[in-house]
Amino acid sequence: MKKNEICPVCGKETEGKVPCPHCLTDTTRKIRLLYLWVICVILAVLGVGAFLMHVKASGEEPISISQIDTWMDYSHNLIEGTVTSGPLYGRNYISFSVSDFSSTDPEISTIEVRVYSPAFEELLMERRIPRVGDRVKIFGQTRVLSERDKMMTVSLASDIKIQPLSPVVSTPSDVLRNVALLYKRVTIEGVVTSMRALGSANIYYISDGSSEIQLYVPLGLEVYVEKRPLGLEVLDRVRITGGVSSYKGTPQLMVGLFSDIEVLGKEEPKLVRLSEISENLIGSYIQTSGKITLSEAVGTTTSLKITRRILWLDDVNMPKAYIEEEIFQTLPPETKRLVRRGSSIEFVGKVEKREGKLVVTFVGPQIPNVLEGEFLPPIAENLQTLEVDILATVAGRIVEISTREKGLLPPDRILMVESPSGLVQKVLIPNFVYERLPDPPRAGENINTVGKISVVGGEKVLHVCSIEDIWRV
Amino acid sequence: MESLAYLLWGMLGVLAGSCLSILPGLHPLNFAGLAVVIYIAYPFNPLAFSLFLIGMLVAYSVVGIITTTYMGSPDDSTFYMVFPNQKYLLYGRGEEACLLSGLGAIGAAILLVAISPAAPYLFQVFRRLTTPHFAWILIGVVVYLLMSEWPKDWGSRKKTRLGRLADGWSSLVAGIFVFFLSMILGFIVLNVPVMPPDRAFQNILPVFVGFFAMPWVLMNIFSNPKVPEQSKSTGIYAGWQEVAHGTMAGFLGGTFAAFQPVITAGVGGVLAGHATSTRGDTSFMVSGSAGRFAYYVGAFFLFWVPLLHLTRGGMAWVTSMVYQPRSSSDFWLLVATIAFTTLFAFILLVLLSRFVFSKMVTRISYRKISIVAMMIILAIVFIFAGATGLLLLVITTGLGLIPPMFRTRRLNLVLGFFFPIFLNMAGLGEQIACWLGGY
Repeated sequence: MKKNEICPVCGKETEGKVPCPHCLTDTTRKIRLLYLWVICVILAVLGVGAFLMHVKASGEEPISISQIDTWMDYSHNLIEGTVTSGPLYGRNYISFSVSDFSSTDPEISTIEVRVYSPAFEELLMERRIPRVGDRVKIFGQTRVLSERDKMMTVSLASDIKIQPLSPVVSTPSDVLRNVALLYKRVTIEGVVTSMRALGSANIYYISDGSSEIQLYVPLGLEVYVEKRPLGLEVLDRVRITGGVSSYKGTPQLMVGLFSDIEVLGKEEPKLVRLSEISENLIGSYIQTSGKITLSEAVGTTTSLKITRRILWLDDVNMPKAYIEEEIFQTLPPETKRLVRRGSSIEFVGKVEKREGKLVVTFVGPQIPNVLEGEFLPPIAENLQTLEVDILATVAGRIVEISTREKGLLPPDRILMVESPSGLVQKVLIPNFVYERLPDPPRAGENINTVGKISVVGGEKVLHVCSIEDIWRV
Repeated sequence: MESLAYLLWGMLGVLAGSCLSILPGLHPLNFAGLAVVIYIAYPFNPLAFSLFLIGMLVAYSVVGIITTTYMGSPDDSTFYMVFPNQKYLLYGRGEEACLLSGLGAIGAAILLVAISPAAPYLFQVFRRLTTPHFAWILIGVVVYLLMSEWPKDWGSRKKTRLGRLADGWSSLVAGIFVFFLSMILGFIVLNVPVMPPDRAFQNILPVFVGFFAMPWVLMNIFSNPKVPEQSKSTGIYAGWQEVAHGTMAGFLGGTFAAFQPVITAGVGGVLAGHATSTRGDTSFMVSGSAGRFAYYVGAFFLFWVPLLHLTRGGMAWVTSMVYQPRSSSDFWLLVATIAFTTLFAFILLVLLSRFVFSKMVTRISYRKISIVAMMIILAIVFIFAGATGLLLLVITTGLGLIPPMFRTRRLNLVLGFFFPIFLNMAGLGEQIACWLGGY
C-alpha cells in the first residue's frame, strides 16, 4: 500500500501503514465475497447429497436384538422378530418377549417388550395383542442392563406392528414332540386334568389322553384385562388356540385373551365311594365324598409355609384327600372356611398311591361341594394306650408349655395338659400351626384340642394339625 | 414431496428462530419452551416439529451473532468472542465481523455434514471411551482452566515487590474467588428450589443472563461507546489459514462440549483454542461461532445419529418428548435440513446485518440500544422466571461484573456454577450440598 492510499474499509488515508491505523484492517489478505458464496455452494451440494441419502434410505431398518448392548441404554430402536413368550399383564402394561434368533444364545437375541398406558389400553381396544408366534415390528426405548437382560418400552400403540400367524391344528402330544411347532400358533383340543397356581399365573394341564401340555394363564389377564376368573374346571373339554412357548425346555401354551380358550363340554367323572377306591382306579379321575374328620396341615422343615392339606375322611382307614396348598388357595374364601373338621365334602380327584397308601388327590380347578357340620373325636383318657394315627380329643388345663427347637425357625410348642382326672398329657403344636394362632394358649388356661396321635421322643402325644383344632373352654 | 415439506418446516424454524435470537438474553431452551407451548396448543406432525426446532437452533447459532456484534449482549457461548466482534463494530467493521462469524458457522456446518456418514461409528467409539471417565474429565477441565489463567498486565508496574506480587495475583485471585462464589450459587440454585415449581425449568435463565448479558449491557450503557458509520463489506480481510484454523478449533471445541455433559460451548471453545493455539481476533471470531454452531446444532445432531441416540442439550430433550428418530432416513433428512437451514440463516445474517443493524447502530445511540437491550432482557427474565428470577438476575449480574472489573476469565462463572454437577457425577455433590445446608 502506498502513501496517501485510502483504506478500502474505513475510507481514510492509511499513510502506507498496514494494518490501517483507523480500522486495523490488514488489506494484504482478503477473502472475496465470491469465495464465501462458493463455500455456501459447497454446503448446498453436501445438503443435496444428504437429501439424496434420505430419499434412498429405507424408512424402516430394524436392528438385530443381539446387537443391542449396554451402550444403547435409553436409546430408541426398531426391532423385528417373533413373539416367543407372553403376553403378561400388569396394572398399566402388557409385556411379552421378542426374539429375532440373531444369536445362537437365545437370551442374547431376546428382548422383553413392555407397552404402557395409554398404548396398552389402545391395543386392548383394538384387540391387537401380540401373541406367541406373531411376527412383530416394534419401535421403542431400550433399557439394557446386560446383553442378556434388555427391555424395550413402547409408548405409542402405532409403534407396534403385528403380523398374526395363522394357527395350525395339532394335539398336546404333537406339540410336546414336534420341535418345529415351537413359537408357532396351534389349535389343540384336550381335557383339563389339573392346575398349578403360581404367584403370577395359573398353569392348567391339558391332556389328550396320552400327554399333558401346560397352558399358562397369567393372573394379570384375569385381574386387569378380563376382570373375571377364567372359570375352567377340571375335566372340562377345551379347544385352545395359543402360541407354543418354552419354559425351561418344556413346551408351554400361552394365550392372549380368554377368547382363545373355548369350553366344549365336560368329561363326567366316575362316582366312587371312598370305600370302593382300589388300586384298579389309580390314575383315574373320580368323584367322591366324605365327612372331614381332620384337616391336617403339612408344613416344611425349612419354613413356616403350609405345603398341603390332608383331609381325613369318614374313617381313619379310608383313603385321605390331598390338597396342595396352592390349589387350596384358589378356592373361594367361603369354601376355604368350610373345608374343616366336621364338614362334608364332595369333590373330583385323581386316585394315586403315596407312601404305599391309596389317596385321592384333589385336582384343580374346581369348587367342591361342602356342607358345614360337626365332628369331635372321642376324648382320650390316656394317649399312651391308644394307637398311633388315631384321632382323639384332649381336654384340660395347661400346666406347662415347653418348646422343641427347630433350628433357625420358631420352635414347636409342647403343652402339658392336665385332664380332669389329674393325668398330664402332651399336646404338640407344630411351629407353623402355633405361629398362625391369633391368640396362642397360655399356661393355666383350660383348652380342648383335637389331633392325631403321634410319637415324639418315644412318647405318644396329641399332634394338633390346624388352628381350628385348639380352642379355649 | 413430503420430504421437501419437512425442509420447509426447517426454514420456517429459521425465520422464527431469527426473530427470537436477535432478542438479547434469550437462550435456545427458551425457544424450546415456546415451541413446546405452541406444539401442545396446536399439535402437528412431530417430525416437522423437530425439524422446525433444528431450524430455530440453527438461526440462534447463526443469526444470533447479530446480538453479540451490534448489541453487545453475549451469552455463555459468545462471551469470549464479544470483545473482538465489538472491536470490529467500533472500527466500522461490524458487518465484516458478522460475515466472519457466519463463515465460522458455515464451516462448522460443512464439517458436521461431512462427518455424518461416519458419525454412527465415530461417536460410538467416543462414547465407549469417555463415558466411564466423565467425572474426572470434567473435574480435570475445571482444574486446567483455573490453573491456566495468566496474570494480566495492568499497564502500570508497581514500585514495590509486594505491589507487583499483588498486581500479578489480583486477577488470578479474583478468578478463583468468582469460581467459588459461582459454585456456592450453583449448589443453591441446582439443589434448592429457588424458582416456583411452575417455573423451575427456567431457573438457569436468570443465572446465565446475569453472568454474561447484563454485565456487558451495563458496561455499554456506562461507557457509551461511539459507534462509527459501518462500512459495506466487500469481503473479509483475513487469511484462509486463519479461517480454516479457527473453524477447525471451534468445531473441535463445540463438538467436545456437545458430546460431554455439562460442558458449554464457551468452555469447549477455550479448551480447543488452547489445544490448537488459536490466536488473533479473526480466529477467535471464526472459532467462536463455529464452536457455538457445533455445540448447539451438534448436540441436537447426536440425538439423531443412528445407534447412538445421545440426548444432549435442552432442544434434544424437548424433541425426545414428541419424536424419536427412527431410521437413517430420518438422520439424513436432519443432516440435509441442517445444511439448507444454515445457508438460509447465513443469508438472513448477511441481509439483516447489512440492511438493518449496521444502519440502526449508527443512527441510534449505542447507549439507547443498550438500554433497550437491557429492558428486553429484564422483560424476558420476568416473563420466564418471575420476580424471583429478577432477584437472581441481580445477584448473578453482580457476580458477572467481577471478571471484567478484575480482568479475569468469565468462564470461571460457568465452571463454578456447574461444578456441583461434576461433583454429583463423582458421587460427592450431595455430601457437600449437605455441608452447605443445601438439604
